[in-house]
Amino acid sequence: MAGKLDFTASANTDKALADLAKVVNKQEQMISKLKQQNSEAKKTTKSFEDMDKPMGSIVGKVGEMAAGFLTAQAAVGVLRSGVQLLKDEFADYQRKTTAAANSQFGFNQAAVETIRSYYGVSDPTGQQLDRQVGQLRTGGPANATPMQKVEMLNAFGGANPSAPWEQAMSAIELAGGPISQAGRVERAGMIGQLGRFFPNKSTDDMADLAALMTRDAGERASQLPRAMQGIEKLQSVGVDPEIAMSRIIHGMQKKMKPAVFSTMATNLVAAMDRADSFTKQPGKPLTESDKALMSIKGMTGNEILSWADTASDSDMASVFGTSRAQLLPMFGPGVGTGGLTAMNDAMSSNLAATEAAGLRASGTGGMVAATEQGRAVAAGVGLMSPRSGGTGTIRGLFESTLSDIPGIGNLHRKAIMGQLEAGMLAGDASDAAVGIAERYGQRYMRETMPGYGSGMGFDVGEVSVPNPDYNPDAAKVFQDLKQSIERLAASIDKQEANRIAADISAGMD
Amino acid sequence: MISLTLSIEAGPDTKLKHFDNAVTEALKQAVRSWHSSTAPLHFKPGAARKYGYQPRSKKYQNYKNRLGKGPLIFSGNAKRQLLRVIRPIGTKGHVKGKFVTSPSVRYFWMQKRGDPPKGKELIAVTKSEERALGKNVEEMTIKYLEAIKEKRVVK
Repeated sequence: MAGKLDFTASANTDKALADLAKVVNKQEQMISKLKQQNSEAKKTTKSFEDMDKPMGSIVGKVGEMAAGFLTAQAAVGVLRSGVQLLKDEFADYQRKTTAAANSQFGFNQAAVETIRSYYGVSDPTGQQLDRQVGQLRTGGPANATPMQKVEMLNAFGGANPSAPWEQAMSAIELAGGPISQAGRVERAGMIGQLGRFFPNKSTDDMADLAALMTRDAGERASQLPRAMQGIEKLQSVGVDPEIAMSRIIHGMQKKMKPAVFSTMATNLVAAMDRADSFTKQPGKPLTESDKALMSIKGMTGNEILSWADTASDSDMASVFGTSRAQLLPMFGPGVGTGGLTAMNDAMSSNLAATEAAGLRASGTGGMVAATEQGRAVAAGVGLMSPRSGGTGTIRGLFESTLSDIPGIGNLHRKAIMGQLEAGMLAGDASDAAVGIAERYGQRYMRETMPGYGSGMGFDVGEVSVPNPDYNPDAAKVFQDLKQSIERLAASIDKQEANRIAADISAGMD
Repeated sequence: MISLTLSIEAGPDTKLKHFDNAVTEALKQAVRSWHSSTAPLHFKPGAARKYGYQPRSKKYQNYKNRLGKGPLIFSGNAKRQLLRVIRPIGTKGHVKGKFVTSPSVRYFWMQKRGDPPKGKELIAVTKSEERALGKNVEEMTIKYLEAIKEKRVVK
């Protein structure tokens, strides 16, 4: 008699089928390989054509098999892809969260460290620190990120650690002119340094002065920190910073390189040292250099600068180590006074505040130019012949213009460029041109512009304005662009319609 | 003229046809293999702990210890019969291994109230044994399918 005790075993047939699918896949590969070999053989002989049918039927069988396995395979496939998708999503989520946390942590940490190092927070509850971090986050230039503000604060604090917190915030606000981030950091540092040179002046004045210097230095603004080092050096030998500053400003207005001032200061300090230690050797005749040193011996820094205004070329060369021609813009009768007047004018104006205010009104300083350029180019592109030599330049200009407009990402730029490129080919009804128009018109616009509709071979739709609230001018630019694009698209449509009409009439003949 | 002969040994369609059989056979094989290799372990010292047997009374355990009898063993007759033959019976995906014994072994699964469930204890498997069985079934299924030698020739 059989016992009633059973040992049972059961299998998950789905899983087993999935395993079987592996075996089948291998066989499929083998069959396709064989088929390929056969098709190669087919090239050499026609008789193989007869074999193609059974081969086809075998492959068909494999197809049927695939269909037969569909349930198990699809389930496994869906599950795997689903799991992978989830993993990817989760990894992406984690990455974003980590990045967000890092950036947040980065800002908080950097802000706290900077504030602690320069603005000595001593309250045990940390409320003041919290308040300052909050001010740094919300205050400052509108177009700077919190981390950029920290960089600016760091530059200002490093240059003038004794300045109070309010001055630092004011400096950051005023340093946010229409310049690059590196420029803004430098500007903040410069305001700090100027504040150290002129402790009795307000931050506004220093910001105005910094703006004046940046404007005068023009493309050589990156040399300004070196010029500031020159002032510092001269200050150490008793030169009044105001006098030094006025000379730099005057020199820069005459196209002098700001870096020259640093060289001059270094040489001057060295010359003063040499003059102090210079003693005439009995019986040894004085050289030109010795005479120059003798003449400045015992002078203060200010006095040497005044002396240089009227000194001869050789004397200046001996003392400053550089030719008079290089230093000429900085010395001469009335130079100090002229520079001083420019300084005072700048400080009595609201140069920095105006720049910063203009910035807030228009998003970025480059925006105004970008708007005008953008409008002009967008309007002009449509009129350009695709074969004309200026097309490339116009395109380049337009592309760079678009890059300057805040809120236009790379894809939007590509989309707009594509549309315009298509527009430029409007006169060309060749297949290639139509292909390009379609490629750009449909692919990029659909991918990048939400709510995009399709037209006859060319898409025209609502061009989205990324952030119209941010800057009303941007919306305007986009509207202009949109109109321009629509005009170009209409032109292409017309060309296409003409082409079709021509084809039809040709067919009727 | 070139003539090619393509022989396909047991194509996928054939294998699909044999799939259920393959799984069933593999399961049967697994049951047999369990019976021959794992079932005897249930009577070895230490099995009570390994397979989670219900504790026996102290008096009975002392008695068994004194006589040197392992778990699930009193006279040894049931062990002998239980480990002799197992008959796997199964359909697709599910196989039962029936122990072929004399009626005297009935007490193994017809215990009185309060008695330990000796039948269940005999067929208990550990996690690792379960995994090994699953793996065996998988391997054996593939082996079975690969062993099919049905040749089709295309000329």
